[in-house]
Amino acid sequence: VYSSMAPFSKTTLDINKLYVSSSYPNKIPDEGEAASEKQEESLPGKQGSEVSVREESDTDPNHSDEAEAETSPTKSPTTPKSVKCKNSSDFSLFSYNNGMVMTSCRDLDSTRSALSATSAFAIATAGANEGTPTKEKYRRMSLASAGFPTDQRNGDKEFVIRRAATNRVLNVLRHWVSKHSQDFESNEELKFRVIGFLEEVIHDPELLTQERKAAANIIRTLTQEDPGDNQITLEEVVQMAEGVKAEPFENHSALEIAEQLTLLDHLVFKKIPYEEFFGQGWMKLEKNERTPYIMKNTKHFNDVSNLIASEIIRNEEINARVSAIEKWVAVADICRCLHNYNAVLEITSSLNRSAIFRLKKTWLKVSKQTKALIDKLQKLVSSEGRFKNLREALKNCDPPCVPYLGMYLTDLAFIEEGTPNYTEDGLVNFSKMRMISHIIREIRQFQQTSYKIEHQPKVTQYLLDQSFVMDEETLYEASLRIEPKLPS
Amino acid sequence: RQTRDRFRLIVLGDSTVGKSCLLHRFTEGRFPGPLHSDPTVGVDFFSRLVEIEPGKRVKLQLWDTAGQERFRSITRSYYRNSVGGLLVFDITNRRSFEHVKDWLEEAKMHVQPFQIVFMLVGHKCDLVSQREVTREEAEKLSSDCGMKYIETSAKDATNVEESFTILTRDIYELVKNGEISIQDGWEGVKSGFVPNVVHSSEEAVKPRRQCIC
Repeated sequence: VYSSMAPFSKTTLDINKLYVSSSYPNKIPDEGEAASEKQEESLPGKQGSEVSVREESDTDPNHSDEAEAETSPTKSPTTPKSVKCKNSSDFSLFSYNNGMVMTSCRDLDSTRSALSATSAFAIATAGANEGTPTKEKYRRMSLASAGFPTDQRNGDKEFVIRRAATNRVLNVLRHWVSKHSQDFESNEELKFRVIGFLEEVIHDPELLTQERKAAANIIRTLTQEDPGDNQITLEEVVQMAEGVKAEPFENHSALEIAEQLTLLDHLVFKKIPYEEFFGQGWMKLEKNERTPYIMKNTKHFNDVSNLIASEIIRNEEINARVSAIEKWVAVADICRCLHNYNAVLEITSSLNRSAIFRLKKTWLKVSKQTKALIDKLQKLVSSEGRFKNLREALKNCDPPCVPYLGMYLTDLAFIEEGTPNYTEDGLVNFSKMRMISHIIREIRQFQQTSYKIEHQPKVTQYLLDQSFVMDEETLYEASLRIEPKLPS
Repeated sequence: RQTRDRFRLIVLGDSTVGKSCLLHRFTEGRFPGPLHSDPTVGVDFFSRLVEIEPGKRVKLQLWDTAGQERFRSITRSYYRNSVGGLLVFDITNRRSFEHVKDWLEEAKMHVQPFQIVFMLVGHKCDLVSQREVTREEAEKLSSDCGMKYIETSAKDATNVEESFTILTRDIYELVKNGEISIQDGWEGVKSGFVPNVVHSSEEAVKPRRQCIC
């Protein structure tokens, strides 16, 4: 019996896996299902009889090597030569993380029953769609696969199980490919392996038409160029700004600034890989190593906020300060229309800083309309009621959008600190994991749609120019100089 | 007379000193268990009633900037809207003690033009054997900066209740004596007794927020 379809003889649901983000994209299985599937496919006499769902995968490696070598002339070029079923416990192609369940074969958890691949998928997908897998569910699933003696030739049952298995495998892949495309963009090898596997699947003569169609669709999704790929990258924008003498604030319209700030904010935001959201890495000492992109995001936020405050303070003349404030508020309002709530906060929080806030004479000259607009914008992004207004706006807005990352980081901190990882029964707290995945999914939804804003280097050069930007203390000193403290 | 005074407090200190644990301990049972609630609806602060003298209760709103610390210009605006704060360090972590002055400086700069009352908290006092900051040093620092000092442990609940109560009582006295005044547009203190807000005479010419710089 050679049909060892299960490359992962054991599964374990390990919460720690959720935090060990690096474990899977790099660990490409030596030989994925492509090999074993193909092997199965090419075996004579197995049609309608072999039970494709099997727990044992400890087939003699030599034997299967032979079988593979002899019988797979159609071998995909992307599939490596050797097949070692013994190593099946090392296969981790499906250390698939949808934010809730990691099925991994690498770490064996003795307390969990050994489950076949199908059962693992079944559980993974069931967990995603139907709620917490219960003990009963585990039991049923392992029974479903274990209930078949290897030599039993029951065509009907075999057919049903095979359809179910194929369905589940394709569903998991479809979900993975469509919802987590980042994984494939960052890992070419993974991408080619999955394509290779699907090509093998498509050539299976037993496959139903709709299954073949589904597999082809997944390949199409994987191979099609991401439309966002044509977009300029953050690196390119930054590079174009380097060593260039930026034109002053007055030379750019509020609309240009709002659009280019939005482009920039989104480029910074969308780069954050989802692994950085696990385990509050941004609050740890090793934050720069663990969450470099979250750190870049906050740095960008603070840089822009400093730039805005500096742009106001650098004007010795009061009317110039007033018009700088009014223009930035106009920028903020355009950003609101562009769904760039991050920039609304960058701007309103700048106006709230002591150095700006205390400029009594300046504020007296700011127009009523501008003040009313500030109030409106501040209400929108206020942390009051746990950002209830901002949440409402986000709920009703169609991407593209730049949300305020800090809100999500606070949510994650609340969930992580207020909820245990394990239930009282020592089971993984799926409820917590689901809440975390809920937040990450929302973030990703906003990351995935890019703005169609044409890059204007002269404006981004200004926005990235730090040459005139003052730090907190310098800002405050300058503020005291332009409007000295009155004796109270 | 049904409404109560409400004070808004913040908890400051390095990220590993146990601020959240302290807050959790103090507000235990009042934090809407995330297990049972939608993460998208909840509270932005912990809230709790404290009895500062028989029959006199004050509502505390405790701001937690958890997770957002890096967004400096955001967290700074939280300072200004607070009337008091716990300045927390970890007695087993010398660095966190050395940073107390930085936190104080930063907060003082950003609460302007309002005032804020701080209390120094040496946290994790259950870990006596790992102590890196003596009580004497901490007391010296606190009196130099005009603060009270208390040592707490969220683990065994030592002085958690006391730290918040003492701070609240001190603020209450300052408000009662008029040393802290309730002002329009300031979230630090909301009074349930004074008919809402004390307006200044030249209301009409005020900037959008009261500013006594």
